[in-house]
Amino acid sequence: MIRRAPVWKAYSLVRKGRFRKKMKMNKMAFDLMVDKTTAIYSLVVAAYMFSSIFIFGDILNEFHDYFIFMEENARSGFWLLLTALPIRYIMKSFREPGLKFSSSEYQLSLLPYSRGKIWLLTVAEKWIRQCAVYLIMGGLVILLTPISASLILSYLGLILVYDIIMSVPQWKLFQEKFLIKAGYLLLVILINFVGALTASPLAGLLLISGIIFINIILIPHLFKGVNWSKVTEISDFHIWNMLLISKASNTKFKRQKKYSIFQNSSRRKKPFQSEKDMQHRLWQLYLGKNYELLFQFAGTLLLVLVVLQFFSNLLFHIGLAVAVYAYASVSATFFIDRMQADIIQVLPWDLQQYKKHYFKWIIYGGCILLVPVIIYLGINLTVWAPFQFVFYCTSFLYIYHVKLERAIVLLGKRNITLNIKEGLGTIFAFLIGLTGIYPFISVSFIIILILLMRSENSSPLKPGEPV
Amino acid sequence: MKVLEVSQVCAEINNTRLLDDISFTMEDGSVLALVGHNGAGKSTLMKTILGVLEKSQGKIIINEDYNQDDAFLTFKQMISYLPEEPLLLTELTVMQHFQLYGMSYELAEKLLNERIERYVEGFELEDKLHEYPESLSKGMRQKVQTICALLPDTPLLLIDEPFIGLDVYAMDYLEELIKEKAANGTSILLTTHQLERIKEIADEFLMLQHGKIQSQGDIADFRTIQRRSKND
Repeated sequence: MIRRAPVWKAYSLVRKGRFRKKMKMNKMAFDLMVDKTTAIYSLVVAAYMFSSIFIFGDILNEFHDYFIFMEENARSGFWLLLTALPIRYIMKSFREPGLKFSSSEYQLSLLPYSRGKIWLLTVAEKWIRQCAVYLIMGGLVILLTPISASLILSYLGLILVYDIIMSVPQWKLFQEKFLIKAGYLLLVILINFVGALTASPLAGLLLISGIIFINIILIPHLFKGVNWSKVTEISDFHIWNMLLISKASNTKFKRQKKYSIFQNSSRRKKPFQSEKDMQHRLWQLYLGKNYELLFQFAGTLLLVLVVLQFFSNLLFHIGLAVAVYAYASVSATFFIDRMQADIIQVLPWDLQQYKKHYFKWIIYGGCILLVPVIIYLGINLTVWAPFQFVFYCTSFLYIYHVKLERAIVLLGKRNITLNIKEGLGTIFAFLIGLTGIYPFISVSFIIILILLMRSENSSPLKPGEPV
Repeated sequence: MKVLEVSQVCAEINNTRLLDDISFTMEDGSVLALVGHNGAGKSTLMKTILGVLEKSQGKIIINEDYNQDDAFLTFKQMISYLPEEPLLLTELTVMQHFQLYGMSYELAEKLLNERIERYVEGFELEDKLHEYPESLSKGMRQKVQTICALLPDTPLLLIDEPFIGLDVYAMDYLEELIKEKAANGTSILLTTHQLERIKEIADEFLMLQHGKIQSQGDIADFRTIQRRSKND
């Protein structure tokens, strides 16, 4: 007779081992970064800050009206949340399966243990952890704010219910093609739109019933069409990407493989028709893999440019100068990173070609950032506005080209100094800030145009030039 | 003509010396076997020659003129590299990988297609050209990466553990291709643990131990590698 070991025993062995390893690594990193004296002082400062804000201070009283306002809004918005919450899980399904089924759990499933039971243990562990986090968070909010406990508990209960009933749909959606995910996202947004228009809880109730029904249909097919390599790779990344370790070792934890959001299309399997197609794809893949970082960066710059419009002219222009400089610098950093990543790293580089095809993507990003600038110039319309617009664009182009030249020099290990060009780039960024007070400065775009044309002719590496 | 000159090269990571005072040269058309136990520094030396790993001192010159330190882009153009683990992109098909190599090494389209046809047939990958790497077996991925590295005509070919994952027919075919490349003037630096096979291919050997050259000479004089010891 064959005796089978209980799956939870094997699972808890793996989890205990992982916990111990992470604890050990964190302790090592902590010891490396913080000595005991600093730790004690930090604790004292943190305790002082906490007590001064929440115990001895009257900060909470100051915010009393604000909390009441929040509570009123939260009550009326409860039904909207019921309809809106699934969007969160569908959005997440573009990036992650919703539970951490790592290579260890996968290996375990190759032993005589049921994969279904291991999956269930993984998801149950996630639910218990979420429940504990919500209880702590809810407890703190109930203790520290005047918001009613029943409202907080009903919100947390709703989120937990969605955590549970969206686990299976997110897991299955993660395995699907981009267009299918996008289709479901659109459908739920549409239901939200109808719900908001009718101002009735019916849309939310129908949606939640639909999700429960989908769960019943999907559960028997839980492991059909699962891309295990993708699931385990992403789970491994989330488990071992530890912030403290990254800080202590000064290294970025990289994913072994990064799955592009564009994969799975049959059209994309066709051979390239030209070098242009290939370059386009290479950049598209690289930027697609880093889209989270790009969205965060572009979103921050966009936010800065939108928010600063409500402050003074000077402040907006300083923000614009910083945005232009940061966008050019980050573009160059991405360019270098592209050349030092994956298979491209070991291939010869025609850097001028890579630069040429990269520029198109930079323009796309730049167009998004130009929207708040155009709105600003439209609202504050003066005779200088067209000159200012051209000045901002040419300044960016100049700084961008200098930054890319610097990147090319670094990649090619060439001994070329670009101090004058870099100095000029900084001056142009500074001048963007000054146009907030002296808009006539913007006519200097003519000088930048001349410099751009000259720098095109004196590029460190021209196409076809022997290197 | 000296195709590769490695002179007093050292490489370090976090103050740990991985390569220590490595010097050797390779003539055109020669095949040098880099041997040693696991962790001896063979792959590190390859990556340092390629420029993926920064050397801390020494110089590496190709074709007597192109120094890694001041003509890096041309230097890169002169090396083709077959890594131990395939570096294939999950988003490009097999054919698209070949095209990427063709573009990077500026191969004429006709020549590229001829070579693709020949190698794909030799490695029995005709029906896999439009597949993504993740749908291929490990051995097939290795074959794809091998073809990629063999497509260009570079003065220097670096091959790291070429026979891992290949079936016996593919191994024989690759051996044949390596010999053909060498006969056409390409210098080949390769690492392998298949010591019997290496004697058939290489002219000379260079044995590494703990990042240092332990011995070098004619392949006929090569006996075996030393076992790695805790006390070394």
